[in-house]
Amino acid sequence: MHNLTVTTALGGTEPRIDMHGPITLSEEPGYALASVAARKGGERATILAIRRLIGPAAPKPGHIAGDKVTAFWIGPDQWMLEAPYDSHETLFEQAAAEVKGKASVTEQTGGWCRFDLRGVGLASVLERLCPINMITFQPGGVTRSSIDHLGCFIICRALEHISILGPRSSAASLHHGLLTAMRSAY
Amino acid sequence: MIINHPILGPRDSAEFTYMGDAALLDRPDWQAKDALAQFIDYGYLRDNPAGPHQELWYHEQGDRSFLVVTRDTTTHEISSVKLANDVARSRGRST
Amino acid sequence: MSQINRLKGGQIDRSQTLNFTFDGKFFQGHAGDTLASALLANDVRLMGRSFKYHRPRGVLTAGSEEPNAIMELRDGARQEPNTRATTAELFDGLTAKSQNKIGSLRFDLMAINDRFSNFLTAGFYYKTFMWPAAFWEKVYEPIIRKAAGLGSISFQDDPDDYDRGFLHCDLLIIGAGPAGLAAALTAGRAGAQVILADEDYTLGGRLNSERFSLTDQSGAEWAAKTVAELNSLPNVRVMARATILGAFDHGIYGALERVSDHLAVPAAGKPRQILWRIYTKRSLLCAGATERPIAFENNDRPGIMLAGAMRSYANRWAVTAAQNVAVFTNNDDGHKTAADLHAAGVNVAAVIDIRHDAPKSQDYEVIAGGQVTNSRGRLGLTSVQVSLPDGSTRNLPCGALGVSGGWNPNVHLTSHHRGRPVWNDEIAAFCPPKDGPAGLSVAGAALGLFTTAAALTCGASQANAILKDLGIKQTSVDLPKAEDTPSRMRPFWYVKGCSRAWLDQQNDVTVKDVKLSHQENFISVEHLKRYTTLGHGHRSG
Repeated sequence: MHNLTVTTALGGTEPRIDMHGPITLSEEPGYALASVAARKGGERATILAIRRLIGPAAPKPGHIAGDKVTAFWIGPDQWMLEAPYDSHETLFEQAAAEVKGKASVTEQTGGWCRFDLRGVGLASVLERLCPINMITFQPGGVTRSSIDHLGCFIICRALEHISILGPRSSAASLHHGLLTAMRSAY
Repeated sequence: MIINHPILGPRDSAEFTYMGDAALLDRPDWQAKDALAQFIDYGYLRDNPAGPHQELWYHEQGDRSFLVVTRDTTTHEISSVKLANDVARSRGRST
Repeated sequence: MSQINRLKGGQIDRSQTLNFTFDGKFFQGHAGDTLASALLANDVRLMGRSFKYHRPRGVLTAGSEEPNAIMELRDGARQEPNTRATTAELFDGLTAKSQNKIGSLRFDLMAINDRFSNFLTAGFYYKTFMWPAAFWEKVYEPIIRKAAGLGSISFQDDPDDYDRGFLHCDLLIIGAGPAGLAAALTAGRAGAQVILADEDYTLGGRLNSERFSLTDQSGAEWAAKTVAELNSLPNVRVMARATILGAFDHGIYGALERVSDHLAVPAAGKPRQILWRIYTKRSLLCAGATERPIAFENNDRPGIMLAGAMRSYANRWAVTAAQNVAVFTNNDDGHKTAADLHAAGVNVAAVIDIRHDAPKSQDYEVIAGGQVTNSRGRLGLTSVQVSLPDGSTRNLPCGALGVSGGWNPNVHLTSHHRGRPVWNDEIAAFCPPKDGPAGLSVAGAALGLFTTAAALTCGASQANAILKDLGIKQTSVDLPKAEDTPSRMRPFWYVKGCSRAWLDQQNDVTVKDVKLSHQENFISVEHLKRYTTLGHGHRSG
């Protein structure tokens, strides 16, 4: 039996948490991810499959929907599924079974790292990171943009809760960028 | 510059990568008799107009779609932005 | 006694005394001072040496247009060359050094260049160091660099962070003088997303530099109250120490915010400066105007400054450059300087006005129809030579001279995107073009409206026009009553017969150089600039 230790994207055995001013930055390792890209002619079937997976209708461009399993729009006819890893370790297989060949499903869990920012006044941190208009970026909104030259998904889960998904191989760079912006803003 | 993305609205051009003349959408038929001459044109010859120009912009730091942007090269005024997918399909192409 | 040139009043905090050094000498100033105002308060007029001739130079202006008082600030890794003493906020422990000298500031060995000025005219480098080509890199360039170089760098890593960021707004207002504040109030109360940016650390523009009142309060009080209200509005972002540096395509503007330049060391985690990219729907330029000098023989001595700057020093910083001053003007505005300095208890030797119908004064002598033809004082002004209307000359002792040749609207941003400024005969200056950056409107002195009342009204009405365009419901704003007397002026550029009369003090360009350039067929302004170096440096463009 192998005796392996699970580490987070930042290399720790416990997720890292940083607090500065009113903002808390936390590493969020516990999520499974799978992308769904409709194949030509399978657009409608894919939308229905996503609805079966998450509950509500598949989200429109720039949005996220769902509860336990969520989906957010990542491009024309493409979505990312996200769910707690403990309960949905097989999210990818589940999605693949649901789309029945009408879409390509890709396991994405190991490709990304997720950091959550919580607190009052997140706009002051985000405006130092990417060109999102924080006046119009409301809960339920998702956009992809560049943070310190890293392509990231930015998800507004609530007024005081924003998730940032970035490439896992650059987790430390992203974390440094987020923390620097927090210290600059507060 | 700001590119008014047909799906996502106004986005900074810094999120995009310029991919050249939109004429690249019209790839010659490789089985045509003069395929070689056509591919030389396709591969190497570009117009360089001072004025309106149709060009491809790739939303690399965004939704990864290709756009056909009509931009005046002398003023940077953008008169039209379409999804390259839609443009190609409107020309009778399958993808 | 220290600060012997400190006057009463002003907007400095006398309860906070700040210690600083200049060229190793110890001085004191107060919170609210710039390095330049604190040096003047301590009777330091000599602040630098000129670029080419190494002539002694003092402060010319009270703002970012300063060509002369260029210094090295701080020491160690944070040493920063070529910084304007007029915009550097004084802080406790600041070390400043003059630059561009070999030896001491008072006895600069390179001042020999001044004696050879006939050989160092426009195009000198181009004409002299032409061959042999191999000499360029090995011999000529190092010598020229050493002789003409400005400040020096520390050769250490910069320990500070520099950040960047992104902002969005409906309306960006550039400049927080009367026009900008009125516009921000109008748009802010209407609920628009507004950013108000100004390069100064105290907002208000010339409201802080003048003595007149707005209804029943001083200009500075009204500015401070207005800024406080704007700060209380969640839809308005007020940015002090933020210079808008460019208009880019589709309503994007660049801004440099100097977050920590006024501190000895940035606070933990804080950047020194932030480069903002501002996305705007519309923008309004309220950048005010810059006073222009009149060129006359030896017009570059320490103590000779712009009349408006002299007034700013007296009213805002409670400082005079000398206890006995004179003013040389072609317009009514120059007389305000004399009146304000007289009111502050400074002796006004005379106002020399080129116009025969100059306004008279009970308090000081006005020489109507006179001209300043020369000046004396090697390291600082001691007297000026005045030619009187009857053809005789008179020597007028004074330690400082305020010069006013009228005001030029600050049109710079409007000439981005190929906008071409339009000449206006009435104010004898260039005004903003109609074909500047799309979405950019102009208000106040930047538009050529030079009274405070006109600036306030114009700021509010331009803001309302923009709100209408954006479909935002307008609100009425109660503007204060302000002075509305137009300043008369007669265009006058340089005193006849002058040759070593400086047009560009930073690059040592004289009237003679410009004439020579013209004679050698470098006539278009671009060629003239390249050939004479006129307008390079801090005020390039």
